[in-house]
Amino acid sequence: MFPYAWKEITRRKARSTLTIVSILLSIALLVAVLSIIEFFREAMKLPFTTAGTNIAVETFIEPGPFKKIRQARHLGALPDSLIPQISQIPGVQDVVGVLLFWDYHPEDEKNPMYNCAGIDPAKPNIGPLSLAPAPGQIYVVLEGRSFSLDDKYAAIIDKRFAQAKNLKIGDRIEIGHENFEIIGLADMQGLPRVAQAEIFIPLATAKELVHFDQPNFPPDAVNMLLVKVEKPRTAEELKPQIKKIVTQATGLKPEQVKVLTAEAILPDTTGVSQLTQTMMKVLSIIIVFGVAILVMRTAVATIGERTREIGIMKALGWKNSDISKLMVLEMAIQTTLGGIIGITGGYAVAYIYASTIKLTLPPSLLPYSCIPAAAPPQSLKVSMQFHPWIFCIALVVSIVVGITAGYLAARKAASLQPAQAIRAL
Amino acid sequence: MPLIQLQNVSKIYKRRDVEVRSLEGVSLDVEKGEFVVIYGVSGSGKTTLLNLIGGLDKPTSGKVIVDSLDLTTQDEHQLSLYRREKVGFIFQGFNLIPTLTAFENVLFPLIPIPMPEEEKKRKVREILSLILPIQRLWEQLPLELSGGEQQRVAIARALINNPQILLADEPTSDLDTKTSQQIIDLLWEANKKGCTVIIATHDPRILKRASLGVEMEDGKIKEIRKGAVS
Repeated sequence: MFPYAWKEITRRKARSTLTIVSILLSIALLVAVLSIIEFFREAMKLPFTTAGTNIAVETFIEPGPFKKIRQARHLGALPDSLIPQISQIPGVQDVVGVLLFWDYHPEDEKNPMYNCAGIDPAKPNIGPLSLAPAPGQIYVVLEGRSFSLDDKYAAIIDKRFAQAKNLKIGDRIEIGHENFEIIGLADMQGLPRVAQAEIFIPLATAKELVHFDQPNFPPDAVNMLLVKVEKPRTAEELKPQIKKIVTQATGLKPEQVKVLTAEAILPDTTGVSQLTQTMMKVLSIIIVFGVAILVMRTAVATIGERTREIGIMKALGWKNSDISKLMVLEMAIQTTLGGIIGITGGYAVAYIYASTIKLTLPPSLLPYSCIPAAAPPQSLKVSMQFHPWIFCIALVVSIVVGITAGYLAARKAASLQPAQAIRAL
Repeated sequence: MPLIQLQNVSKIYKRRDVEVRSLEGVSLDVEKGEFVVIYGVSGSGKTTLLNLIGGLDKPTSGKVIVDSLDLTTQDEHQLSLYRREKVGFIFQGFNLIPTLTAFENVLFPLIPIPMPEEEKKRKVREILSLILPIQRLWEQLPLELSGGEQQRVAIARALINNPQILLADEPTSDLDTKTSQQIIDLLWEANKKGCTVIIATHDPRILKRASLGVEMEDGKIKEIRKGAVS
């Protein structure tokens, strides 16, 4: 039956082309919209993925007095007691605190403010230095060693910072009023991540340093919490509970508490709001729906032109079910063909668009000083990976439109009386 | 028992709210292996009679029984199987599918039948070798064939399923004398091989071959003659 169906398609060039092109364009639009949104989403996830987390929590307060050490930007204190509280929320896998601070070095005229972070050596898989946040993915290549639980005045520094300051493993560096031994060099692979810094020291030591210079900053606090959830797609759902707990614990106004996820930073970064995303999706679905109706109408209209042929089929012993199969096959071939070309075209459009767009991480997730020695990677890598589910949805939609159109055409064909159909010659 | 029995068959069509009596009280018995010629002026009901025997249409009243099967009580599915297994049609004006080659047109009735593709093609080659022996014509489209060649393809298509009954509506109407004679010979040969042939025609050369002549007038049988009609 396929060769005959194919001949019919090629015979009715104008109608077939109209059907294929309509499906092609609508599917291309659908695939392009879905792919671009996915590209953006993947890009937004990267700063979190590289830090092995899904949610970043921070508060905004007035900056502390200018001393050698001060907390980074406007980041306010988050008491350690929040960690077990948030950990108890169902769906939360782990929580870790990070203390981001700036260390002033007036002797360094070029880059006087060093960007530092105190990280928890007990939780090496969450945080800006996490070595293997996801199986099979390497985001940090570490020379030397990572922190042990006994380390106090040990530092791991960004490799680019080390190059800028001519430092190597075994050298010493002054942070606050203490001297630290450089035990490792971290190559961040040029990828952006939350809680990025140039110098990393053990969290407990960082707390002592910050509290020493900023007595108002509690000794048992951090200024960023990184939350890893069991199912990444539930991160958005957990945000309100986390925000409520943090607001209550800190006594800050809700607007001073930021609970950030990849979804949440997407509108700020891309300019594409949640509403716009939804509108784009709805619009493309409406267009696909409209085209589906057009294709169905075309298929049914074709039966009017094929009355004689259908009469011959019936006279020659074709059952209604045989004619239905043929109609469905013809339409399914056309829409599948249009769908596959549309998927390819839509993906190509998304790819071209994504490769020209430049996205940068929001400053709230990069609390760096103005002139860092090793500027953090800010450009988000727009991952243009192929999403099988988009391919599947688009293909299924194409095939379903074809089958439905074929079925409707077949129903009309079945209603034709053979003798009348042949008399319509 | 006759192969085909028409019992007091009437057929009324509605055309723009006007009733047209195409057949009225027609009764006819056709024995197996007969060469029946239905003749009469245009509009006398010849084609309607063929359609009823072929299960393409149902009578308004009366019964059409073929090989003990009452066609008037069969649903569309059963009628399709009846047409597929027992009837071959040759239409007025050939009615070949214009986009298919001669070979594909003959293959056309076999497409929905569950049978190995090679077997289907073998059957087509077999019948075309007899009816349209020039093989290069098999790959020609209908428009590239002469009227006679097209009618040969139509006959091959009608015979591909080895039907018990061959129904032909004006099979020589668009053909020259020589070609018409060849077509009549082909139908005659099919009849000799056991196929009951029923032809609606004006062609007097076919009438001469009839074993049963049925003259139609105003939807009624005017006369039934056994043997050739002169």
